[in-house]
Amino acid sequence: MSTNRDFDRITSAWLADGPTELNDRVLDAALDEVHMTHQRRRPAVPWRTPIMTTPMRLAAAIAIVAIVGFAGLTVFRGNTGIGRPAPTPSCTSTALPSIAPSPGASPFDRGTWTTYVSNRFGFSICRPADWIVHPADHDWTFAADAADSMSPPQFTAYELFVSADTSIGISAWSVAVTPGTSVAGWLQAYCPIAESNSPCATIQDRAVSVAMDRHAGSLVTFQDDVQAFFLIDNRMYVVASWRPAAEYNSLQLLEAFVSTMHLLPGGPVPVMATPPPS
Amino acid sequence: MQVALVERARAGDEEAFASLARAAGDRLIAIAYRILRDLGLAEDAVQQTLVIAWRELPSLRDVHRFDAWLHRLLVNACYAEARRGRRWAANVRVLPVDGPAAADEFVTVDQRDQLDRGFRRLPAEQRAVFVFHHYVGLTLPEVADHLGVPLGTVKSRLHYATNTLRAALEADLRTSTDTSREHLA
Repeated sequence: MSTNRDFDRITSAWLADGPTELNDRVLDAALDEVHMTHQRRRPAVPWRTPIMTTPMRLAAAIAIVAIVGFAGLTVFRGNTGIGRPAPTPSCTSTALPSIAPSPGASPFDRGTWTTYVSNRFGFSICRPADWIVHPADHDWTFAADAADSMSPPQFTAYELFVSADTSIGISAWSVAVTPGTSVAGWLQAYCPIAESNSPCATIQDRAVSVAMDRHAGSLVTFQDDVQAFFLIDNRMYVVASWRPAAEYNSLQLLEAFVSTMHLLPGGPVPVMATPPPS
Repeated sequence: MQVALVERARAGDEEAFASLARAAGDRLIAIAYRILRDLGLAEDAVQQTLVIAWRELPSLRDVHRFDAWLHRLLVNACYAEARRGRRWAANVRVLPVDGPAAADEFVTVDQRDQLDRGFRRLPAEQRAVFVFHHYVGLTLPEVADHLGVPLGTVKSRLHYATNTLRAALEADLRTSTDTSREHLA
């Protein structure tokens, strides 16, 4: 490579090579999907009804009384413990991560998050309501999925949550490990395969403490993503944020997800594997 | 013309949006393929982009910025596709091309192979900057605008991408030189 001009000439020729026309099949598929997709619009709802008739006032009063009565009953039952259903973790019931999110980062407003239960991997986790969920289609195994080298991308070994604009993804899964396995030992085997472009010898230096459902774990920054690891009862739980730490508040977003995570009392439930397409 | 279509599409006119999609489709696939280097992933990224563009179009405030906005959606879709395909694509071996590795007018087969390999090692964010600058022909401030990242970040990503590709080409040159010497010895 003698000159910048040589480099520009070679790369330009290389970049020019490739498709420049969109297949009609792709365009038609997109437009078909568009036809079935509603545009997202902000509801133009006035902050109060401008004219309130007597029947409307009456209905509103009844509704308020009903809501207050129901809330009071719920609190009463909560205090006595009588008739209370099994507790379901709330998406806002745990403290926010210590690192404050940037202003306007809507993913951290967990008031709108909803709970996703992964029976396959034995946990519940909250995610923004408008994020797209791609459920796992098979159990995660070290041999087949650490490098994820053989699976087409649409068949995944983890629960995957993708933001509405697809700019970021969060994946979560768990796997049984051999008794006596340590987090450090497991990571030393996992890193070279799953994060081959990251320095694996210095993982411990980059790990910071993080908690999930009162269990301590390690949050590790890799080259392309950030992942949290929790070793609980001979099972490794992993949550990954699919963007580098410096981008998209990836680290804080991962912490927010982890803070909503709870283990299912019964642990994972075996699920029949989805057969691969023939 | 395009502004009128964007306004109609923003108001819910599917035909107007279809016209916009047809006009932009070739450009989107060309960019997506060059970022992802995989036609299947690129087509998925374009399809995702068009659907999201339709869904989110009412939120586009400045209709004159439709192209830049669409590019940003495309790049985000490419990032997601790259991340989905990264691990399995990493193990895909580049098969040798049939025929002699003779130099064509601009770039040899070996150089293409080295560039392909070098490019696949780059993070998608660096690829996007490289493609928008060298293929689409945007200036660095324009790249920053289209990708929604600071100018300094664009410069940094382009610097790393260029160095990686330059190193790949220089490695190819060294290999070729060594081979020639062996033949001469």
